[in-house]
Amino acid sequence: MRIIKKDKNPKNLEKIQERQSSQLKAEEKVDLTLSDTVEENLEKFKAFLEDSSDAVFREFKLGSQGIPCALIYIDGLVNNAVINEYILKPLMYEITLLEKTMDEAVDKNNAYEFVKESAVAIGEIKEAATLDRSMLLVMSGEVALIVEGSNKILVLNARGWPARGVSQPDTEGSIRGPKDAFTETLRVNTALLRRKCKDPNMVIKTIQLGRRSKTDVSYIYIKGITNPELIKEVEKRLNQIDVDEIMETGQIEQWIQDNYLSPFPQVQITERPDVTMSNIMEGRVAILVDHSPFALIVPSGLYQFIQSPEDYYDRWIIGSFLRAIRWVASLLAAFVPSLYIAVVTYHPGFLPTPLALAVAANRMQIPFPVFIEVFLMEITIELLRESGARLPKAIGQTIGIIGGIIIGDAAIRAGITSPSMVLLVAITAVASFIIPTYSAAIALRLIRFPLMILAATLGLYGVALGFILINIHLANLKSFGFDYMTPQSPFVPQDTRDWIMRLPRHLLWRRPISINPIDIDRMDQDSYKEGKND
Amino acid sequence: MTRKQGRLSYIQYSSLIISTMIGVIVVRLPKLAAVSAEEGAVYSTLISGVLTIVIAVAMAILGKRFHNQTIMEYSTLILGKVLGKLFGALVTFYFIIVASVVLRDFSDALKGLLLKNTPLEIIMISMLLTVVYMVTNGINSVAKVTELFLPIIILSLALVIVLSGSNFKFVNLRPTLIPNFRLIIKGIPDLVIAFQGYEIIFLVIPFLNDHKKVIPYTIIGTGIPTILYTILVAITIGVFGLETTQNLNYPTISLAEGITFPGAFAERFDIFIAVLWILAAFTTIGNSFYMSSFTTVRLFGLKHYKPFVYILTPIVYILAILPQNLMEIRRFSSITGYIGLGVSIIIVGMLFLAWISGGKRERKNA
Repeated sequence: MRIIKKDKNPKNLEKIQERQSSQLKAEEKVDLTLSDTVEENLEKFKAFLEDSSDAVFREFKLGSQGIPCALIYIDGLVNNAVINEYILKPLMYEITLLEKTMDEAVDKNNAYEFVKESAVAIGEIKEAATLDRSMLLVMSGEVALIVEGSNKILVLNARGWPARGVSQPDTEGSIRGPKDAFTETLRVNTALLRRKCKDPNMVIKTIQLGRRSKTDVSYIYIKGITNPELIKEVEKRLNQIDVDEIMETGQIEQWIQDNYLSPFPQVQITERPDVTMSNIMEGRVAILVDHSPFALIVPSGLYQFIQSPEDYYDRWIIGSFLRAIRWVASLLAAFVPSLYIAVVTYHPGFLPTPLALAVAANRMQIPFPVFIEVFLMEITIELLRESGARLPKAIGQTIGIIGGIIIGDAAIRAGITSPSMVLLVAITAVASFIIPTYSAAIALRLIRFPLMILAATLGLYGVALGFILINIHLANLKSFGFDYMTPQSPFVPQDTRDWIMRLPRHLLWRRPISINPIDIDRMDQDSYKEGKND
Repeated sequence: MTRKQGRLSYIQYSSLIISTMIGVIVVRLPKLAAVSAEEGAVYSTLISGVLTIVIAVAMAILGKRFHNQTIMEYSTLILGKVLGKLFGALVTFYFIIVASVVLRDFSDALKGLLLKNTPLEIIMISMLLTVVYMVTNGINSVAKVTELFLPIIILSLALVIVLSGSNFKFVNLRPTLIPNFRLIIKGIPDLVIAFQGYEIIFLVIPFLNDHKKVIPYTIIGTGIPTILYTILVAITIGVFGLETTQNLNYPTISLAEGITFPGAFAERFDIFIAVLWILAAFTTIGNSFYMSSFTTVRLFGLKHYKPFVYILTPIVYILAILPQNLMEIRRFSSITGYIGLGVSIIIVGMLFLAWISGGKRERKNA
């Protein structure tokens, strides 16, 4: 039980010293090896848990000879019915019947083996030889059974805690495709994935991260598809994490990403099991964290953030069209405000004359320069969006209406902004909401602001410079060592089939080569033609 | 993980050549051709392009032969230590000058096209800083950024050419179609200089994954600009006529200005093209700057590359700001061009030296 304690809070130094002198910490007081008497072992557990009201210590006597035993569990994490019916009942009552039929009394020497082999009616049983291990299992919701005469502890699985059921995805809606989303329980999430793929080569490995929180973190891949180097890299990066607590996938993401200075997400986040599964099938690795309804997918390229599962479920023409619209939208979301500033301020001649005149007439009443006007409106939209996201749904609608009136009408009448400006802000906002991944959309909204400053100072040249800078940044960005801008840079012709366009299914017979899977082919190329000839 | 640092694909190799060649000059290439070769403009451009391909292929053969070394190392091998170092210094000097000339040329053109009231210094510094950002991350960064921009550059150029088709009058082009050898040859020196940029070949070859198909990809890399340039010159003369082309400052932009497509959102297509031209100029400036810092590092045999980028930045800036007016810039750039031609010819000479000496070695081994 290593706990991070390098720097103590200087304000509480006195309390720390006092504590150190008067009472030893539990882990220092107690020898972590187990003894073979119930009493001593129980004391060791109690040293840690005596102050906690949800810890249950249940002592009882086993069989005709009355061998002392004890159950330790955390109330609320276990299923009480299971404990009563399948642990306590066999041990306290049915075991005496067993003794009678077998004509053999259970004594101290064979009690542990007997209990393990014949008495307890529980599917998953583990043996723990140290206090450390059994304590961890108890804290994660299992039941520890101490039997006199053994220096091992039986750990019985009777987990059961309040959990949310599987529901529809909140942030990644789709019209076609499965409607289930991950929940907060890791085991449910892995089950959702197992249900989608019955290949025994799909490996779900679990490690515990966080010195205090001991959160279960699973990484999932398919042996024989995923590149072993990638798996090694994932393991390396996950094992490097050494913190007190892990609460959410977002924390893991920030530990394992390649560039923490970039506004762009380098790890894909999804709450959809189907998206996760298809990415695993492509040769990527998914990371699930207990208590988090999101999966991380590595490595990921920019193009993945523009994809939606529907691109694959719909027919290819529709899928390609939708995807192309999203690419256009992502460009609009990032560049429209700065282009407007640059054109209106520096190059009004760029617009057709009637439009240029209309814009100028609109702007007659406005007291601010274009940059300030755009900036004000963009900030307003961000305010509205953020408040809408945080508020309860019922009030959120009110905000929508108020915002609509403020932006649409009142601001124009008050002479703060022009109608063309409102149109522009609306286009930007709608465009940014089209992008399926929230983290990517917010990155694009963010880079808008520096671009606006560039446009205000250098006009279209500034916008072009901004475009160049973003591209340099993206070209150098990596996700788990793989290039972020694949398949365009470095150019991988094969992968462009599933990039801006989503070509027909039978043409996508290869997994993305840019992430270097071991098994490249994912379909029998001839099967399509054969099926048609029949 | 998939690609080691400093390992480039053939596609990246070709796109580096193309993007370095298509650059600042593309906006005034038709004028250059019309002024220097007059009636021979189209043929002269084509022949200069073919000459460029020949020189580039010669360089590629040499580079393939010494594919583990850059020009800076194998020049000492072929020419001997002193001469080789001198040659290396000349190459380095040439690239530094090229980088600053291209930067200055770009800034002047941009000021004329888009930002009439912005000080030249601001344009130059902002462009230089952007370039430095790309170059500090090494050849891979340069190659990948090039790959991102190249489709945009080629598409926009192709768009100008295709959309100008409606303004094209064959009568204007006809006089240039009768071959006049005197004029064609007269235009070649100036136009060969316009094609420069292919020198990047002998710096990039050592970074390639594989060397077997270097020569076809060199031909692709130099061939695409040759074709585009020739068509561009022909179209421009076809639209404006020879004399007008001679008098336009930026004929390519004027070409775009003439484009109208019905119901278009943008009235002035030329501004759009000018913005896309910034990308083309950026790749050229960036690649030239990369070449100059790379050769400098190799000349002094240093291990660390990044600090030199920062040291070179002010030098390039000062060299670029030195010329006082357009005349000086043109003179400056044509002098650089001739140096470049000289360097290229020396390289071709070296090729034959290497050929002979290599042949000897082979005979000895046999």
